[in-house]
Amino acid sequence: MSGKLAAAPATSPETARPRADHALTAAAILEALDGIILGKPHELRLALACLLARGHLLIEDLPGVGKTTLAHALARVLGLKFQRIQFTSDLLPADILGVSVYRPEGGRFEFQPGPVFAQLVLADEINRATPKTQSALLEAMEEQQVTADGTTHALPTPFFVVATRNPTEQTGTFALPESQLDRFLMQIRLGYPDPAQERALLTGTDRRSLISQQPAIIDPETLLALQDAVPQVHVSDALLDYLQALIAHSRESRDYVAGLSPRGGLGLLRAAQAWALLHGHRGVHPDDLQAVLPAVVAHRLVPRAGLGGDDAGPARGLLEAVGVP
Amino acid sequence: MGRADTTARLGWVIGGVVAATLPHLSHLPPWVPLLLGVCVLWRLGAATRGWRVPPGWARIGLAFVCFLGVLATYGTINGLHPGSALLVVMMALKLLETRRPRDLVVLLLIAYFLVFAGFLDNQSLPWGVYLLGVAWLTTAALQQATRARAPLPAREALALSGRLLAGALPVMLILFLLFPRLPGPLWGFDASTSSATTGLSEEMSPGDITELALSEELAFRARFGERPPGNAELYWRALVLDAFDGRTWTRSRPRSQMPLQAEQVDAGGRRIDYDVIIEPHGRHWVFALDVPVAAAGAEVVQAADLRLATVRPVNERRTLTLTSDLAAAADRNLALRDREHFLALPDDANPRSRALARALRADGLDDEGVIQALLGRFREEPFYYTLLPPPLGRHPVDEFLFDTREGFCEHYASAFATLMRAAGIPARVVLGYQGGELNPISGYHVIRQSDAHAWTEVWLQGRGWVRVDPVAAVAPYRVSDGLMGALRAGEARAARSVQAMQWRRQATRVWDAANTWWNTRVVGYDDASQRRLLEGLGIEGEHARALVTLLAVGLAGSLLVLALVLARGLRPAQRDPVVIAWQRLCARLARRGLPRLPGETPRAFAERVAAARPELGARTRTLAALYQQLRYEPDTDAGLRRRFLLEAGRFLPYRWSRAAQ
Repeated sequence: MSGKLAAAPATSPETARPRADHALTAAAILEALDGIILGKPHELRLALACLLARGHLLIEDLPGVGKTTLAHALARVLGLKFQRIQFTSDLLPADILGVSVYRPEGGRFEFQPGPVFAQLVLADEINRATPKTQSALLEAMEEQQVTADGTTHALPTPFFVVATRNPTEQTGTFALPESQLDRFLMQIRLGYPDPAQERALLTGTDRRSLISQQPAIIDPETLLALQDAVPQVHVSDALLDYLQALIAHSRESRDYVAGLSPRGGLGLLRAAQAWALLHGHRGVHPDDLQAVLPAVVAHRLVPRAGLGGDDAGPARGLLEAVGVP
Repeated sequence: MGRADTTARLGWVIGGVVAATLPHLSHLPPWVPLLLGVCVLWRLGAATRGWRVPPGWARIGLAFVCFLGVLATYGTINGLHPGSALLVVMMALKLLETRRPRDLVVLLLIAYFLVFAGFLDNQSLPWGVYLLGVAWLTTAALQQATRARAPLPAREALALSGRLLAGALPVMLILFLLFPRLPGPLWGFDASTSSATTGLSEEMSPGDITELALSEELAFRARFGERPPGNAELYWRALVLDAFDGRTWTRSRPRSQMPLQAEQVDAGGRRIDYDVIIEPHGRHWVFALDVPVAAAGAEVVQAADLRLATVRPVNERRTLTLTSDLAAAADRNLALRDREHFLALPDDANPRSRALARALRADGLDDEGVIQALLGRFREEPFYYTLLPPPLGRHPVDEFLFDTREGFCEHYASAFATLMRAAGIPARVVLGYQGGELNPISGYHVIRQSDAHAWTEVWLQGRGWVRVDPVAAVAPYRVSDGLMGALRAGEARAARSVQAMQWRRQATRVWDAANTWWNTRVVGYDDASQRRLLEGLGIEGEHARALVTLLAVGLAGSLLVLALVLARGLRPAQRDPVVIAWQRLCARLARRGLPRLPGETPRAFAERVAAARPELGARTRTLAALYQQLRYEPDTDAGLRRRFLLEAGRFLPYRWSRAAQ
């Protein structure tokens, strides 16, 4: 996620047209995912859009609602190397990043990569680890590399982290500071399935075996091409006006403790572009922006005390308050 | 909201509150500002040091005690001053319980009200300027207190509220000029506040006017038409004293209260019209040139001794339009009994003076001869005109005439009238003002207390009452050049302050002109001025109706202009025909009860329309999709654009929509 906000629409007409197969590829991926994760099409699309926008995903929910299944299914469908790290309070940074091990045969230290060296990393229950360990993962996410003993080791590409956290009301957790939350592009909730899906879940095949049977739909190179296409999606001046009005309102309104950061604004744009790509739009529509906005701002906009309790509150208020140009 | 922000907001509000209280300091009992000061410090301490504010029950108790305090101080809570005191007390206590922006707004509204009360109390120009400044500050504080984001730096906050007030200026002017006014002064309802210094007194004994001689205070203003009379003719008559006890001249009652009879005055043909604007003095006196012959309005009556008087005491600044005849003669045929009244002298006072007068008479001089002889005596013998006369004893006229020979106008007038009466010529003393300074900037004559004067009138057979000013014989410059010209050199103390006065007089001419403008055009703008304004606009008669019409049109016009200016600043002009077509389409749907919500995307809106009106669904969806494509996607072709414009134009045409109603 580099480059300026204003640089996005300055693309040449040839690159501005997403190739038709991007949308088709996306449709195929989503079809496969919908077969595994039941009743969560919107969340699945958000997760995929997040990945395509080169962002990282935070899932905040209770245990057992399918967070791990989602991450695992994504990895499987996209053909990514998957690693799961269960965060605990005694997990150390080296347990994630890797350690230098002395090799008597070679007479020197050799870096033993940790579980973070994967293409899709599921950081499960990230808020159970100490802040030091959390921060080690988040720095790796941000810099796409790990530095150990003065040597820099690049992380594989594509690199996508799905972190889950228990709602902070639960005991034995360390809340993530706001500055680190900002490194996640989106935060979503899965929630309980509705009765029909629950029935299908209960009677159908075990998800685990479904996943293991699922072949990869695309290879990492195709995924990288899709990721490269996201910033090329056309952004009109009218949409930039809308985006800036949303950002400005979040900063001026009394409803929020703090407004959206420039990184948040840029993330919003990239996520909307990814969403437009997924839906075959040749340019970002306000609907695309509105679809991703709740997930992008959920962990960034903190409502002022006493205003709106539910999760959709801040996003809904923002969308209702700012006119679509 | 950070703590520093909160403190900054509080600081602004406290600034506004204190500034609005300052004008009331002069009449508030000392405990009220003290309470405000304590509350301000306490609240600031609470904001910066975390002091605890008193709990709710204590505040309520305190409020009750303060209420009783105001009641005890004034004996009432009605009226301007008790009301202002109560407001200040309320503000002080409210300050202790400010938590949310709303509380600050309440405080500022009270501050606005105090500004208003301050203007009711005093409408002078400097006060008005100060209160305008307070209103500005309070508006800036209001803006800071209710601002969503962090407070602005002081300069920007003041600039912003300045722009706000400037935007309100046209509305203010229109309301000021056109809001229907009631006859009579709006401000002067509280007589107790405007009982100013009286200047002259109802009687005259040696030393009375001397006290006024150094007072620069304004007595009244006058405005003549094209050619004002010369200074030597500006004798402003206020009171006539006709009874003398050997020391003090007083008015004899009921004679001085009798109304003027028409046959008393014979016209002389030098009529002159002028306005006098009298500062409040709490009495009935009117200052008019000799001989006043007419006054506009039923306000003013004229007594037999030619002076004018108002029906109600002058408790507020009052403008009177008067006519005088400078050549008129009065009382040509004074009855014998009346003549005797003007000859009365006490037998046991001033024997030397009476002897002198009798001696002159014995020389065989006629009335005119006696007058000339006495005036010559004043001129030739070493009489001095001085502000520092020596004190006089039991026979003041004798001592002045033969021993001290130093005195001020009242000494001369008293002595001359005494001599006249002793010589058998009816005489009386007139109190008033002499001269006045023309301010070339405003065109008004300004007459100050230092212009107070006393002179004599004698009655001559065939001529009636004739003014004789003995001071003119001793110090003619007093009459032609005013007081400064008449003073004897070497009068150290008095002269020094008179010099300073002279210098200041020059420097304050502009100020006086501004005050005159303010008092006559702004504070004095009344129903009559309003009528004149309308007549100037060519609207005659039925002016109440015209006023209301003009007011409505003017207000609507200025608000419209303001709205246009604001709208231009807020929204860039929309020129894209696609957007215009879409907005029209939305407006048509809105008339069908389906308004687009601000945050609704075209597609979402189309879905809602389709749900509510299935028959419109398909077309709305297509149009919304086309619109989004045209507006948000790159290089759409012209055909699509044409299609959208055509379809949007046909959608829900006006004829169709009316048929559906």
